[in-house]
Amino acid sequence: MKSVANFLLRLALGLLLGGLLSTILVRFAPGYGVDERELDPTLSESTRARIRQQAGASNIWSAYSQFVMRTVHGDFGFSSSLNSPVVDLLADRAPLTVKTVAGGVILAWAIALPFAAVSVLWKGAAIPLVAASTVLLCLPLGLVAICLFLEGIPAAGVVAAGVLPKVFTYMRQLLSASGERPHVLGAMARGISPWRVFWMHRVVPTAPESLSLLGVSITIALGAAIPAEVLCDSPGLGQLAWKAAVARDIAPLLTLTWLMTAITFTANTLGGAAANSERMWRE
Amino acid sequence: MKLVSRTAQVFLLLVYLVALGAPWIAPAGYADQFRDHAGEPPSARFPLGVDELGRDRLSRLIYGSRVSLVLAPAAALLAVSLAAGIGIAAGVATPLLARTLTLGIDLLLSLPALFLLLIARAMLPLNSGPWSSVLVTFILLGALGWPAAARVICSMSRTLLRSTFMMQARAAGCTTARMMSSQFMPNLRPVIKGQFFLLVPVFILAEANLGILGLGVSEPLPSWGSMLAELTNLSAISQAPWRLAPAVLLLLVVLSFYAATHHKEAIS
Repeated sequence: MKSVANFLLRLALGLLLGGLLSTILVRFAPGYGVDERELDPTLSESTRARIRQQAGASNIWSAYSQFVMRTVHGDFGFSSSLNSPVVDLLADRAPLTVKTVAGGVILAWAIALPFAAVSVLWKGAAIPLVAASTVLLCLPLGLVAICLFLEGIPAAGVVAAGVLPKVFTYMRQLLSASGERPHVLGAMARGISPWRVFWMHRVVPTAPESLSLLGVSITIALGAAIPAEVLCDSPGLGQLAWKAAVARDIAPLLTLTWLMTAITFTANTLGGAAANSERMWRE
Repeated sequence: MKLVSRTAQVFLLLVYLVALGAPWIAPAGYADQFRDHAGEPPSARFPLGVDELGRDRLSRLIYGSRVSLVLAPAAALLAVSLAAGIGIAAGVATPLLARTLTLGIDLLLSLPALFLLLIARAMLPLNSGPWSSVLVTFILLGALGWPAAARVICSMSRTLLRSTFMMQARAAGCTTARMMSSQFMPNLRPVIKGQFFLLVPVFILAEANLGILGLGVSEPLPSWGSMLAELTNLSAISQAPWRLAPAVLLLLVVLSFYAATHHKEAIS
């Protein structure tokens, strides 16, 4: 009960901080309070005055409190570029992003785990696998997305390409490190089956760290969803964020930042909590 | 391993020299247009061809390297300075302040940096110059990229404070100032340096990703990211593979940074 209250408190703090940071960025950005529509000669003076009023409060705290109050009351604003309430846009696009991110994370883990195991067990396989993972790490995901899209691979595949090298690298390090522990070397020296040693003393003990990594990989996947959805033309939340940024439409971006903060925070906390409970259960 | 690291360092040095000497080395200015040659494939005069606006791709690649390779380390320096200040404070402060700072770092780690970058880029006025877009992009990368490094530095600071040599120094009557300057900081410096070298390629890749999405450095100023944006014209890649030159250079530079950094890590 205490840990749930602690999580909710931290989540609320995270959301407030995310909102404050977004408001500060908007308030101090060079284009704050400027709206290109004001340059339209066909608009009347009263319309221009209304646009100036809509541009936002000059005081950062009043702008922030307005934003928080509106959000608390379920008013996430109106997207001027897509001419629709932000809530409707989120409801339309969220399912596709959930599918993309979930598919990407599952695919990345399904490939990374066996490959990490193979690279640890067979030294000969390690070099090409590590080289491929390093190259993927050193390329911008946007470029990987273009190449995969050319091959007809959907956005989930691009998200997987963003998550895979990080999961592979970390899991490989974990499995390698666990193989150097004295009790594992002792078990090998006593002639216990290498498979049994690998599973019981190298894979199972890394479960807490793997669960934490699962939480982090959701965060990585959410970041990867933007280039993946934009370049694969998949109409999800990542594409919405990009369209809003290109059209200088702030309302969807602010709401998406809040939403992503909440998801990231929850995923990281759940990953950490699962890791802790697994560790405690084993102890 | 040492040979790979040395080769990577020499390659990085060469790329830096070419990038910094862009005004003297590049065959043309980054915005110079050769309208009669627009869209031409590679030739002796234009080794990487000419883009659709008639600009020499090689010159733009050299000038673009300057933007990416100078500003990414500058952003990394900003991030590492913030991370060192806050991470050390969180590591050595009183329990209450340390917990507050750690909570702040954890909360900031949960913020989606890419979305915050998109907000800032969306707020740039349409008439803002290319240099303001460059500065905003890299300042934001530096200002948002420090929490992970701060966590590492904070953890290392705590380990150092609990280390036996620090305890011995304290028991021997060393003053706090002397312990910090002669024991604590020299042992923490490799970690800070390592974080800096890890952040540089991360920021280069972040700028490239923003550039591919059309939200990076504004035209006509080139950067690797903005040059990679040309590749979004999918059909062009197979017909004009020389357009991949910025991608190849970026891959080699980032690989070199990792190769050099891993050797440093192994030493430390």
